[in-house]
Amino acid sequence: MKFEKFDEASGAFTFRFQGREYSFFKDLLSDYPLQKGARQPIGGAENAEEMAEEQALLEESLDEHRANSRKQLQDFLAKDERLARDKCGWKLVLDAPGIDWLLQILNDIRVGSWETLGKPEQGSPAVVKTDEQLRSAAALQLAGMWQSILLHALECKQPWE
Amino acid sequence: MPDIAEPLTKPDVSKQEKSRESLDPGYLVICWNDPVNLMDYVTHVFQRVFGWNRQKAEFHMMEVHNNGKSVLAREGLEKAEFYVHQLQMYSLHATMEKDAA
Repeated sequence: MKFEKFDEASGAFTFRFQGREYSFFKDLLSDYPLQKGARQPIGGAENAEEMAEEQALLEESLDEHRANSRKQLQDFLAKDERLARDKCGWKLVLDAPGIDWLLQILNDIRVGSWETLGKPEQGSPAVVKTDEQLRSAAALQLAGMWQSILLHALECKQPWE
Repeated sequence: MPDIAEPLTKPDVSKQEKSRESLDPGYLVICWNDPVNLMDYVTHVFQRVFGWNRQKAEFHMMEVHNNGKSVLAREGLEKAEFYVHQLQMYSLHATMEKDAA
């Protein structure tokens, strides 16, 4: 995916997929959500009962949020005009809130893939022995690369030199 | 002259306690370092969730990166819970704890 342009008047960011990249993008997003519940206890509670109640509330809220995002994502991939084919290939047009939404989706996939790989530390390569681990390792890298492109677009509003 | 009758419903002290606790800014919202979230992404999330400018968001992101954690806010119970929910929706490692100070 390449950041092509930002239109000041409409606030639209245009991205373009190259070659087979669009099918990788679609395939990767179809895995969403990879995470379930909360990443860690919310903390702050004074007793076990209160903690269980607050944790249940957090997990319910996160799962509901992911279910809504999943529904939006399915519509986005199936029929959304923001993702369209033209004579040069696949084009993605998003506004700033749309980029924020896609960043969340990609980060869920990135963090979920990292967890599947056994949460490797920074600098230590993940153990990749099975097809599932290979897919997770690829998803981790691809999601991170696309996140970087989206974040660059939001921050700089102009393509990389 | 008759005595003033006691009110039929007594104030619910436990509710008042809970409400006071909700407003008491005694809870810290903390973000912890992890090896998976991109630094620019963490900065972006801080800007979105707290409405901070880039400089302040980057300062806290670097604190997370260098020190392992950063205290992002000191709030009442409900607001602190809200922030932790928001940060976890972005898959950041965020918790809250009662301020010992």
